[in-house]
Amino acid sequence: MTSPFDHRKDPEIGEALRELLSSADDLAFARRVEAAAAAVYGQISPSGWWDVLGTWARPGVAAALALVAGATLWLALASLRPDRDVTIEDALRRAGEDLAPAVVVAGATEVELDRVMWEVPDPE
Amino acid sequence: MKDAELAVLAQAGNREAFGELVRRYAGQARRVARAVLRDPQDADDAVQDAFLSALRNLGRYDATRPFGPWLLRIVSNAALDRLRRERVRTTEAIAPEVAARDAAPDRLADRAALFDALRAALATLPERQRVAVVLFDVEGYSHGEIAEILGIPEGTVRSHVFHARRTLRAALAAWKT
Repeated sequence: MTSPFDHRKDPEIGEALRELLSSADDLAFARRVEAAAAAVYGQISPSGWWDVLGTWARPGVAAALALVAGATLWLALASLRPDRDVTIEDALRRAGEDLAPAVVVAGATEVELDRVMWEVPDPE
Repeated sequence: MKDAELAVLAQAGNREAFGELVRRYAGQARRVARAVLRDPQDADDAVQDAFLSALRNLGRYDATRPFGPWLLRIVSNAALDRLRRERVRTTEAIAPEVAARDAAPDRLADRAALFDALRAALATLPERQRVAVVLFDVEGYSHGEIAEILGIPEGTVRSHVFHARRTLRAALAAWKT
C-alpha cells in the first residue's frame, strides 16, 4: 500500500472506488442523454448556427477587407504616379501646344504662313 | 477524432459528435456525480443536466485546452448544486448512520460488505474531498487539473486527496482484518 503522502495514484483505492461507483449501463445512459440533447438542439435557434459560422468566417472576412483596402490604396497611388513621371518631351510638347496659334493646332487644313505669323503673340 | 474536434462539430450542430463525447465521458461523469450524491438516480439526473448544459455552452469551451476537465467541472458543479438543493429539502442524517457503521466494522467478509464500508467512509468525507480522490485515484487526473475542475488551489487538492485517502485506507484496513 502506498503512503497517503504519495503523489502517484493509489491502485488499491482507485480500483475499489471504481468498482463501487461504476455502473454497467453507461451506453444506455449515453443514449438517454443523446435523446434529451435532441430537444436542446431544437431549442438552439438558427441564428445560433449563424453565430457559429460567423465566428469561423470572421477572420477570413477581416483578411479579405484588409486585402481590398491594400489594393485600393495601391491603385490610388498608382494613378497619381504619371504626374510625377512627366518626361521632358511631354513638357516641351505641352508648351509648344500652348504657344502655337489655335489655327495650327486645331485646324484641319494646311494654313498659310502669314496667318500663322499674324496669330503668334508678340513677345513684347 | 480528438475531443476538441468533436466539441467544435457538436457546437456546429453535429449530433453524432456530441453523442461520441457523451459515450467517452459518461463513465467518468457518473462516477464523479455518484461520489457526491448517494442516490444513483439523482447522480444520473445531475450528469444529464451537466451534459445538456455543456452542449448549450460549447461556445465557451476553449478548444486549445483539454475537454475532460472542462466537462467534469460542469458535472461536479451540477452534482454539488443538486446536493445543496437536497439538503434544503431534507435534513441529511449522514453522521449518525456513519457513526453506527464505524462503531461496528465487524469483520466484513464479502465484497458487498467492502462496498458498504467504502460507501460509509466516503459519506464521512466533505464532497470536494470525495470528488478529489475519485478524480485522482480513479480517473487519473493531475492535481492541477483537479484544481481547475473544482476551482480551488492545487495545494488544497493535495490536502483533500491526502485526507480522503487516509479515511478510505482505514475502511479498507478494517475490511481486511
